[in-house]
Amino acid sequence: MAPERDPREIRLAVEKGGSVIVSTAPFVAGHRVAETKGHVFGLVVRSRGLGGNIAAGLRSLVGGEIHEYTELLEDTRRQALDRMVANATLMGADAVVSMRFDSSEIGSTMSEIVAYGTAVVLAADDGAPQGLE
Amino acid sequence: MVTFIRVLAAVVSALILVGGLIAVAAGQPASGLWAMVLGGVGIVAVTFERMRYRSESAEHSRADGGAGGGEPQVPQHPFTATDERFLDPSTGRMMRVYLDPATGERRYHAEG
Repeated sequence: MAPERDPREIRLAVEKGGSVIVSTAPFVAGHRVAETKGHVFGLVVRSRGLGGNIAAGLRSLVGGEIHEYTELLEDTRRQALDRMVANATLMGADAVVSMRFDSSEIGSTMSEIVAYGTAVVLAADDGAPQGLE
Repeated sequence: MVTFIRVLAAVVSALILVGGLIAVAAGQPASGLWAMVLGGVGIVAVTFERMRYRSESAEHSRADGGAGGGEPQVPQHPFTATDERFLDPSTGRMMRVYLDPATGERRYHAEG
């Protein structure tokens, strides 16, 4: 069962536009990191299916963008990001900093994508120094 | 194109299945059963093929996605609209992200 979230954390998330901030930078402008919750990730493996793979194979004969696989990778990244944000929320974080995607393939037809970063709790601070990569 | 290919794959799979049945009836059980298995697998694969990712909940309920793979309707409470937006590369639709602040579950909906 998921632990109860502190109502103040939920309120902070709502005040920030109801969003868990996901940043590829190690900082969030106008905020300082008040607490580091730890690493967080979302992993997913997806495949396009028989019809999509056949269509992609035929499209590759004539060249150009392979829409079926663009769609597959777009959806896989969405799902990996969704899982990472859900896990960060479960940890009580309201932001993920230094987020990255990593990808590989399994069995030549399956795409594996992991979204990972550091789950943190932010506090508003206009004078907070902004970190360096 | 994918829809056409799926229909074509289903028809070819059905023909292979029927061919297998005919082969078994004609006294060729080995090749007939092999064709029946091949045709059956093809039909199952095409029938249950997943198209777009919509949300984690929809993945479990196998619900179809709306425009851009998102929700067909605007997500309601407890989901709140966020500032996160992006273009879906395959449809060109502008997608807005909705979030349930309590669980961190995200939903997508096409705008415009």
